[in-house]
Amino acid sequence: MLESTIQALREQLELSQDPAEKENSTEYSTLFDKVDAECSSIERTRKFVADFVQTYANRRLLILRTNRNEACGIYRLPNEILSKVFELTMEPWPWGYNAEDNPLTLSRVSRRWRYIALGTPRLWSQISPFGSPALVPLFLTRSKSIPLDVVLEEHTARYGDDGLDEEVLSPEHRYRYLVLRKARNHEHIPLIFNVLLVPQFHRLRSLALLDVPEISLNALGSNPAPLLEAFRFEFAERWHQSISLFSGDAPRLRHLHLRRILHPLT
Amino acid sequence: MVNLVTSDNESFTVEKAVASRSVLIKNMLEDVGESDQPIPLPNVTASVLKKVLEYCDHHKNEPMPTSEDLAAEDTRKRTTDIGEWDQKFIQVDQEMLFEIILAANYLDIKPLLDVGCKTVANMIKGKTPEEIRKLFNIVNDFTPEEEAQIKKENEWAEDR
Repeated sequence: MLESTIQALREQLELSQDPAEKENSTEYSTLFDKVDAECSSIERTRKFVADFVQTYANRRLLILRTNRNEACGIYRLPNEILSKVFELTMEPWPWGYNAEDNPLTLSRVSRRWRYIALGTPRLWSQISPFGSPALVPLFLTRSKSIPLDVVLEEHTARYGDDGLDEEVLSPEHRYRYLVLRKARNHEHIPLIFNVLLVPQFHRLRSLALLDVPEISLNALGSNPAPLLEAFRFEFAERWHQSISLFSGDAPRLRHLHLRRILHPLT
Repeated sequence: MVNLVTSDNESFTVEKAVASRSVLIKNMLEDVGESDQPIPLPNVTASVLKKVLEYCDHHKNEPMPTSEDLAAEDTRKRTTDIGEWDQKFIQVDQEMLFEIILAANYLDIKPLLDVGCKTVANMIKGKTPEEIRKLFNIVNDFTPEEEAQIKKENEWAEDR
């Protein structure tokens, strides 16, 4: 509609112009086109140069910063020694709050530190999903296949408000699903235990279940834990009935701590 | 007695029991047998070797860590506790601390390497990435892609 109106006005203008005016108008039109084309060309060039300079500057800055870091005293230590240092920053099990902060902190210092942290599986073997459940799959992946130390504690947990649907958690989707979901309800601890941690029982080295009444006792009783060395199982209130543990197959278990659990010791 | 020559060409004559705290030197002595030949240490300067020998002299009567000790280390509860004498010994500036660690690694003195690594670990513990950078004079050199991944992990970690 608007275009047709403009076209009509243009035609009317051309009819009303005398030949001399018409010639002037054509010259102006050509001039405008040329100026517009040159402006566009300059804009394109400016953008190209700006992008080029920015890309070059970013790359150069990264190279300079990395080279600068290479001159730092601590960068003289080889990767395997820094990896050992990183492992020594870990808290002994059962740790307090937020053990998962430690590897995340180390992996955020610099490129080289991140490279070393990601290449140190033991650093990611302390799992305490009262931080964020989304971190659990990350830690399980980065710890590769080495033994795990786990603390589950309901009282300190704060989880998502948009509940996890167990039916959706098919094996192939469960990790991704948990990463994408934001859990803020502590009642998801049992689900995280059952879905994420029970499949890892074969590489559990230490396990602390501190007042988490809703976990699957069946899973706890029926899955062998061949590498388990230490197990704490505590309830803060009321006594719980005796249960079978690890289908009787935890040959390395040396430290057993039960609280408010009726369990025969024979 | 054993004669050690540093990278800056300084000689140190020490008891065999002191020098043998270094597995590298101990093996060299065993390979060469009784000899007056000086042992060159091209990766260690005199100032660092002096500190290392001070440590070896203090610990010369302690049993050497066995292969069982080293194997058991992985399964044992790790601790960053450092003995009182070792703590005072390792109170040096950062440059010397890293040099001692490198020398302990080269000379294969496991207990000294442990003391050095534990000291660095204790310096790191409880600090934020920015505080660690400041402590060791490191700058952030992440690419934009790495920054994006770190930001994502941050969001997960803060979701509590």
